[in-house]
Amino acid sequence: MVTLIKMLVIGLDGATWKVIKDNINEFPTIKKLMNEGYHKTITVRGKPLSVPLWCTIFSGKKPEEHGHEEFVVNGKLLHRDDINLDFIWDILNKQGYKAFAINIPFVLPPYNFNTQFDAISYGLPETEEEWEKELWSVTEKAKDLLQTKPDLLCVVYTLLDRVQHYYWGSSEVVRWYKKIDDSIKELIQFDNKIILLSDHGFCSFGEAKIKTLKKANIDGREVKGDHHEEAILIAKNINYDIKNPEDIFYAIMNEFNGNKNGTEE
Amino acid sequence: MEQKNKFVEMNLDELENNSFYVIREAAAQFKNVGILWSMGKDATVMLWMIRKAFLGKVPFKVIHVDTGHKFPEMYETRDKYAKEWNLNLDIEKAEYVADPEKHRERCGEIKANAVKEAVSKHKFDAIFVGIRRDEHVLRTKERYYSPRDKNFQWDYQNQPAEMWGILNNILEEGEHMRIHPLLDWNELDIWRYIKKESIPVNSLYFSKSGNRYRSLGCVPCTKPVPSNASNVDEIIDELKTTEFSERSGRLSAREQTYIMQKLRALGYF
Repeated sequence: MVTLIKMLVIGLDGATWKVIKDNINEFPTIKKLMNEGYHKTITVRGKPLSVPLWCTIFSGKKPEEHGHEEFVVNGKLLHRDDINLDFIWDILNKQGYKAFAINIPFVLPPYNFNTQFDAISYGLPETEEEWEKELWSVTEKAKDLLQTKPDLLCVVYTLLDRVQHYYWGSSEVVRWYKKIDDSIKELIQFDNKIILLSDHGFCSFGEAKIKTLKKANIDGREVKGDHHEEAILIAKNINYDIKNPEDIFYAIMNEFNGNKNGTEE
Repeated sequence: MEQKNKFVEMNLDELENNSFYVIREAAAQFKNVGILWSMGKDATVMLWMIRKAFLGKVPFKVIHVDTGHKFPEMYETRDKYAKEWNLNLDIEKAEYVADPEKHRERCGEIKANAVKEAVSKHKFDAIFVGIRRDEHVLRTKERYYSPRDKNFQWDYQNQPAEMWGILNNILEEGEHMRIHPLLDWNELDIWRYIKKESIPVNSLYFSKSGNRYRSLGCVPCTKPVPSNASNVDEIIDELKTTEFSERSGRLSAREQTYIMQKLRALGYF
């Protein structure tokens, strides 16, 4: 017998406490969630890269266990079928739960489960117009799905990562966080159990231990920020102590099944 | 919650009349016209309408670009209806790449080269192609008549205007015209028309073991989608509420190339 539990997981690619905590009063929705639940820093042990980390977050397997590190391997663009992993939505769906995923960027175009969504610019939005479009289209798609009362909805916004690569250190970054905050407000009204997280944090380009992009980028734009090991986590009404990226999977599984291993019964 | 209908249901007679108009205009305006027939549902509906527009006879050469990787059911459909409909069929053999993975990476280029060969060999000044605007964002800028230059490039920002139903057949030297009679149709219209006209379609479109093909191409390039629709009526019902796009089983070579180029420009590899 399946118990009805509703849960919303919102991923913000590259979101960092450095921006949020310094400007917390600019982000009333995030502030409210922080006050209603618990929040902490999740420190990534290996390389702070989106591809392996989103895989880890939704599969419960550490990067060294699943081995999926890049969008392209041996000159070939990888697809979902190339990744031999069961994600949280695969497992819950088999158990009879209504699970959806939108815009999960561990492959390109980003992966969707149980629904159709055309990612803006195939998951690589680079301009302000494309960031606006992603913000709007992901939010509207998520709202549509939330209306159908899913048991689990996982949704990722990728735009903050791109904004921070190009505008790190400027007020533009705060402006886009505010837009994200407004969008989150629209989503959380539907749900009670919420996880808001990032895959990695951000820092200045020079400070970053690894360089994910070239210094001069598309159209000659200078890259000013890059990935940092410290990611964010906010959890509301989640009965699980999340310490590492893979714990997100177990926290979700715990809410539905009360067991840690995620295996089917 | 009430399910949204993803398609606006058009009047089939209106769509058919409009397509007849495009087909007959093309026949009158161009000297040497060919038809690209992939044996998929759209190309077969287009062929059916051309037959109907000319009272049971297809007055143009029909070209099948054969990559050697088509489904056996597609070859059966081709041979059966080429005979039954008395088609003037020419099979254009494309470059055969035995390794399915390598074929998948180059499929778009392989097919484009074979079409170039066919257009050149038969000296076509126009070819009918069964594309629809709703299939993919890359196709939204196509017109009923979309010219291709001598290198088969499409300059979508410089196409002849199509106002008040006037179709402009002016071609520069070396150009040919792509004629798109199905441009205004959507996937649901196609299936409603298949039902209305009892058009024979490939069995791969119908569900077996919980999967069916919504869009057919080469075997390595096409994947089935989850579906229990095992006949035309069930497909029509399914399309009214589906959340999956028609081409969700296919990522075109052009899209893959675009993503790879962008990743490279960004410095990912």
